[in-house]
Amino acid sequence: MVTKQVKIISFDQTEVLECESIRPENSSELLKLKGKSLLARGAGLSYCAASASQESIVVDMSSMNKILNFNPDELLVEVESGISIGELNNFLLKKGYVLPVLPGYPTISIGGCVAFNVHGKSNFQSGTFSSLVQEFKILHHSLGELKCSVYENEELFNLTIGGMGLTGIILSVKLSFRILPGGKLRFQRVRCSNLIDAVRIMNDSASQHEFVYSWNNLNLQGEKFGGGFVYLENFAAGILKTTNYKNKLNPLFRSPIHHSDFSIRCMCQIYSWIEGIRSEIKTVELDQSSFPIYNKEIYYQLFGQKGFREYQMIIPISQVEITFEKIRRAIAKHNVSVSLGSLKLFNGKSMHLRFDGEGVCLALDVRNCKSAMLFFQELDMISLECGAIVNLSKDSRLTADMISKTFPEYEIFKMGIKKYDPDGMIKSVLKTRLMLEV
Amino acid sequence: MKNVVWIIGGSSGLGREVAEQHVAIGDHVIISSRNQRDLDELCAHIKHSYSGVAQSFVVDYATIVSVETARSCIQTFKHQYPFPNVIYFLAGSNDENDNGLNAASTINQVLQNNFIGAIHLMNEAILASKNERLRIVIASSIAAARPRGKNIAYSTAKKALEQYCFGLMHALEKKDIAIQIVRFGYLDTRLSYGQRLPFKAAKVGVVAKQVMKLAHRTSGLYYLPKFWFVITLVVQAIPFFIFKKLKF
Repeated sequence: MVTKQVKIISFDQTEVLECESIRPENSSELLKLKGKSLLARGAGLSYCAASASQESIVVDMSSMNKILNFNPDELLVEVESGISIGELNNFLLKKGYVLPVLPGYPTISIGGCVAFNVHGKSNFQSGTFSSLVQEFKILHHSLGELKCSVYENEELFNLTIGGMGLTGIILSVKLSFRILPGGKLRFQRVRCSNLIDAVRIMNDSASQHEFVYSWNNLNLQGEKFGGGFVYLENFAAGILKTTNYKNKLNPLFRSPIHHSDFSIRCMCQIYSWIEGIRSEIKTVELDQSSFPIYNKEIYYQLFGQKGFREYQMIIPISQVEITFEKIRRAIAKHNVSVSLGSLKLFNGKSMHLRFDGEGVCLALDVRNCKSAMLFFQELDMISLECGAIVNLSKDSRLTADMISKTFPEYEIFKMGIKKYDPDGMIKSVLKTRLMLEV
Repeated sequence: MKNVVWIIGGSSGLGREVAEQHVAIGDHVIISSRNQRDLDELCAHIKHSYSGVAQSFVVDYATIVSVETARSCIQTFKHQYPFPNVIYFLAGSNDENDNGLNAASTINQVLQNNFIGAIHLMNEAILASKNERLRIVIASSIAAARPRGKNIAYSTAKKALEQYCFGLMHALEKKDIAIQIVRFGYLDTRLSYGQRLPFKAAKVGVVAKQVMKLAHRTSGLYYLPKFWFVITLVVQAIPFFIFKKLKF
């Protein structure tokens, strides 16, 4: 198969690469590539250039999107890894089922969900994506096609989930799903006076709600720091509506008009006012609320050509209060405007370099500028001090040094990668940055 | 009455879309390609995604080298499935080495996969139809409109295929057999993936719907997307001393 030159841009706009790429359309084409240096690419929506490499052939998996098996009796579905999560979820919804873990955007591929162990807003109840993965098939450059599960090739199974595509090309994935409790969502909004208040409300409500998350204005100072809203959602009875999702998140397109610190602060304040006057309880459509970023793509486009930076960390519960205060001071010190602040509760266990654990996940976005970099460096320090886990897929700046200090299993993961790829056949920008090469 | 549709080259790209859309409207679909696993995976996908069922039948143009092999293929097909009233010949392939003074093996392979295999199979299918109503759709390419330095054997094979089909149209004029030749422009498939094309590649889902409509029209030559008719006219009108300097 002939490779083509394609331009790959990380979703946060900070990394750009020209790569050799191919787009196979079925298994036989893909299996012919055994022995070659390959790196899988799904929807290309990782904030960092996880699927970009100038040394490996980038395999665009978007045409590998078939549903291979559907077993409602065992609540299992097997799909090719290039199918989007929105497409798969729509398929299940129409049959009266639902995927318990859904990331923010519907065009993210299932392979990408596995490779970065993505999470959604149901984290406290359903865990991260790893909780759904029962089995997958992977194309290993020398061993060929391998079936992996907790019963078979367990080490490779664990390395691949959250393994950033560094173990091979995921061909197909067997996932568990659940019965859809209702066709709509009952949505409740609770005002919170600050970040600590948000955590309190979320902790109190988490066991009774499927989805719990918050929006927090981190541009406020003093006791109002992080004031905003906690969103509590549960399935409700109603007629189901599905949407054919289209990918509207094109990293190649950015608005020529872009945010300033002033406009970010105004945007947050206006959002806060609007949310404040809207109905506190309502029933919403499942197709819209399942993927909160869908139809809000302009938020990312308004960061312009320079892009933006996102930081995500899971803060241990015992460190939440002191860490929030440190973050508040860091924001004031670097005078950055935070366009998004959001909390989710995590209730899992971290393994290798997976973004998982027990605590409160804080996500924040800032526009990409010099002060943002200094601010993020300070966030790294804060994160290390409180023992937080950081999200590799969201931050194209994190260094190997930082990661090795953050993740206790960094060396174990590195050795595992070395074991399955001793010749360093799989290469990526992310692998180089995290010094995971042989 | 629902159609029995046979799609040769149906496991990926345009063929896959045509197969899925025929199943979606309730037709009985048989899909062919070279690889059984690819076919099984697509049939499984169709089974789970639509209420209808698609069946598989392995066909490799590379092995249809004579009247006998084609006849054997058609006989085997008839033993397994009802004879189709619509057949799509969408299979074909080009070769990265098909770019000038080609090796004989490249020329032979490209001609086999785009011309010889198709015409043998088409002949035998027409004979096996026993003058029952039959609609045939043949995939050609805009490459057949005017040859250039790249894909020489491929454009030759497609042009030869078109000529053969025009001959058949004439020969079968009094029978209820229609042959549609479709010159496809740029389609969003693995062949166009990553290429910097002068025109946007069309979505195969949209083109598949248009192909399905064409299947029931009278014999003729069609362009999909339709604007490629105008582009082809312009390309054919360019004097050679200018054409030879164009890079596309």
